[in-house]
Amino acid sequence: MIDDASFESSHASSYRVPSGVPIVDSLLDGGIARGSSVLLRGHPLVDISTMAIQFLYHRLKNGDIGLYFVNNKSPASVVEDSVSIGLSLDEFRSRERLIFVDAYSGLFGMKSEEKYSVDTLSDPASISRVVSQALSECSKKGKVFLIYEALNTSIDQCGEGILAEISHWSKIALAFDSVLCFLYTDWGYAANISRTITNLFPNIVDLKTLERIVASQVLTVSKVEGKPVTKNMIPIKKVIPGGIVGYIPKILVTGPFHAGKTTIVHTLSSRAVSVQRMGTTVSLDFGHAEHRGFKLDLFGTVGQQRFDPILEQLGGEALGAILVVDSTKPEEFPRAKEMMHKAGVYGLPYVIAANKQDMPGALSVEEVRKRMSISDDVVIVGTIGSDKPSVLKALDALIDRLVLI
Amino acid sequence: MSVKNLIEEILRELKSIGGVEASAVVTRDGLLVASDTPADVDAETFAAMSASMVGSAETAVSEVKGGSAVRVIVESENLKMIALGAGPKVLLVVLAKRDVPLGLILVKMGDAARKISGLVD
Repeated sequence: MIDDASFESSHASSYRVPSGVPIVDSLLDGGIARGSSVLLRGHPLVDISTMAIQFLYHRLKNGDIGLYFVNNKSPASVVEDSVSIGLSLDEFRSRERLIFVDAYSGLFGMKSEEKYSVDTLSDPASISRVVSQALSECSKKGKVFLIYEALNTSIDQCGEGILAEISHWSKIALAFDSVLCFLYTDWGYAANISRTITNLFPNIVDLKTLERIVASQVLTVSKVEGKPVTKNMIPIKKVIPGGIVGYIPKILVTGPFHAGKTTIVHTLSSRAVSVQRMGTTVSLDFGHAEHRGFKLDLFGTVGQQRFDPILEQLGGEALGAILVVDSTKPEEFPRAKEMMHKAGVYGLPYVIAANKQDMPGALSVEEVRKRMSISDDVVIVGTIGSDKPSVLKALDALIDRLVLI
Repeated sequence: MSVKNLIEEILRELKSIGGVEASAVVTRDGLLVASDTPADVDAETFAAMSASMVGSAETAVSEVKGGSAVRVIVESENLKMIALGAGPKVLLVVLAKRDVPLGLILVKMGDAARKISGLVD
């Protein structure tokens, strides 16, 4: 097969394979290591299956063999779910690139139509036998990506004895370069079970809900290659088609009159609307942007002082800001800082776009930093409003700041 | 059930009133909380612009010492759009058919706004 698979394996660092979800890959230093496992852990009522399907779909596209153990719904409904998010697994299944281990039909005494099935769900050893067999047999056809849905259901059915079997499967995975992905909804198990599970997996991705009314779900990678990591939290959203993406519902683009805010919002956005009258924004620029696996909504504010009350109303709940200044007009720098203050975002992550770098008399980035007395930890990017690469650099810098909260 | 799901239930109920075509709950600073809008409507843009509109109207009316704005009603060629505060944090916005009488809708919106306000505050 001439596809991404051969491309990947030609790379020296190919022992990590991308999951296909950019926000996860960036936090996992490029992806999940072959021969290892990842735990996808969710709060109750958080949908973790969607992300598992995204991983699987991406690996199948890259030539891996998919193996899907499922004990909480039928294989048919897994395929239905994949179709509903626009990542259909149907074709892979019919070409036998995706094989199911059916641990569901047996619950109802039905005969499974899948190649592998488990009937005695209360016995860890019989689950283990089938999973081991499926893993080693499928590995003869290619690199296996296994989804195990769901570990919590297995714990409910046969107790924590199932956890002892995982280390056995991990050895098979190590031998055959497979990747194992376990889905686990934490319904509040005993502390010792939770601890065992946390220790068992070298990589852990957490999906949580927060008590917020907007952007209430977040993704955290809490363990990478056996090492606990902290301080990352990415708001997420489910989009159709595609599945889970990083979602930053509000980035404020602010700055003085005629600094180029509207142009920057439009340059960054795939779709943007502006309320402009007589050549100037009178209420708000709003644009959707997509970058590095994130969906971002940009709010461009109004520059003139007389609109400041609206700036105060719309500045709330922003996660970050791009402060746009006209590099040819140092006399407006104090106003720029005042606007950040008014929008209530001072203190949030922000970057400065020293705009209009193509105009005669534009101050350099260093000069802008000095005149505005901005400390070195704030990134200032020289931009030309209509030049996408330069403006993306500013957005990149802001996303970096936002991801490592 | 999450707060968002509960708000969606309230929006569904609003739709059962004759003439109501779509509705949304947005934060006063322009973020979408929940919506019951047709698929071809960009709900996030609608949210941002509704908040901006209400914010502008409130500012305009308070500048002329008009007190606090109760609601904003837009009558357009095709429809009526009514935005109403639901507590200090969010707004309820309803789209209705152009020639529908507003009386019942305003009463029902008031009830819904009171419930929503209780859910988010």
